[in-house]
Amino acid sequence: MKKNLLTLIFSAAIIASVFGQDWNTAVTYNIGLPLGNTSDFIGESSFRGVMVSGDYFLEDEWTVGFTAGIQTFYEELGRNTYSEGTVTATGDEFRYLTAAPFLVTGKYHFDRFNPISAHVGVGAGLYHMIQTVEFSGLFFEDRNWQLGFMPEAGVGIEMSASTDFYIAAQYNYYLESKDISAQSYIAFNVGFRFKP
Amino acid sequence: MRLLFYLLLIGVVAGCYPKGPKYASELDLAITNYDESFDFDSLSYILVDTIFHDDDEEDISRAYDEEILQRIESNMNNLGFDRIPTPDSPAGLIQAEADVVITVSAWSSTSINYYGGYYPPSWGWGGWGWYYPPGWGFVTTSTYGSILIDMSDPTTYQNEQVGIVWSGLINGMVDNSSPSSIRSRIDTEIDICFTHPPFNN
Repeated sequence: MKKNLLTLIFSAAIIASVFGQDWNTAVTYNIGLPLGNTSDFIGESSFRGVMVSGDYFLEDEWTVGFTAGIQTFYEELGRNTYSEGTVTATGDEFRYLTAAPFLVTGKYHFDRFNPISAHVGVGAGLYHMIQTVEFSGLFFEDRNWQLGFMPEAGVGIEMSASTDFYIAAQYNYYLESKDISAQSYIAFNVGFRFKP
Repeated sequence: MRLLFYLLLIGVVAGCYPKGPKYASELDLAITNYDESFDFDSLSYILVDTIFHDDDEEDISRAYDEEILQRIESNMNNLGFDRIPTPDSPAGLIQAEADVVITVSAWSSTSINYYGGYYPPSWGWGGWGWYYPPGWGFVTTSTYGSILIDMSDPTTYQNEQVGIVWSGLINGMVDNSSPSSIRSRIDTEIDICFTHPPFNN
């Protein structure tokens, strides 16, 4: 499944590259800060994230586009003991949570042609979630597509006529599904934005 | 150029995917279960002094047998239980009037792991392309050792069967582990079994 997710994100990168002739496209490295149920499951921040996005200008201020990415949270909990009825098990526990958003976005850009340009926006769509507990070699995994949304704010700092240094913060929230509770995290993005 | 940058960043992050356990000991597992209706206070016990190896090819070393039995006895004695000498014949297990009879069995199993043709299946650079041929991949095997400690109630003996009132199973990977490491891990996991309910009440 991870291979399939990477296929989708590779595809998004290729689309972003091709559409880059008319679109603003960005690729960022992401750090994820878990919140709510996500931090209950995994307390540690994620330094394994990447995101690709594309924005098409309808007017000078407004864009529509897409965002695709992957963020993997991971924590080693060490030796733990769990009981269920009369059964008790002790083992080493490792937890993984992979969130892969595939969203359509709308953004408002302030001073698009300034050397420093900011934007706010919101994305909505599907998150593919894989929540795994590895317990001494035994795997317990839940996976689902979940509806979610992502308000964001970001700033581009012009490096050349065609390239901005780009930072953004995104609040990711996805709704509860059959197997996985509602989750949330903040992604801090650092990367480059390429302009037509 | 832009696409190459995109793919490079995605590839770097994908390569950093967390790997999980790094040491064989992190795969060690101890599981116990017990009969709630059985009274585990002040037990007398017989420890059958031969471990049954459920393994036709005898590829589980018997080098650890004596230590396994001693560790079980040590834990039972620390819990305040009294050992009754092991009878000479199976029939004696019933006649000895012990509260429980402890038997131990051991076996090994092999896990087969396949790592193959990882992403991307085919892509190129500067006019050169490369791809994984059909069937490309790596197969690794891991050997696990398991020890099952059963405590049975001899008063339930009927039709050559006896009721189990407590079981402890320990399981661990034994590849690339020194005998001293395996001994230490076996001791640790047996000790853990005897910290589980009902013995921690």
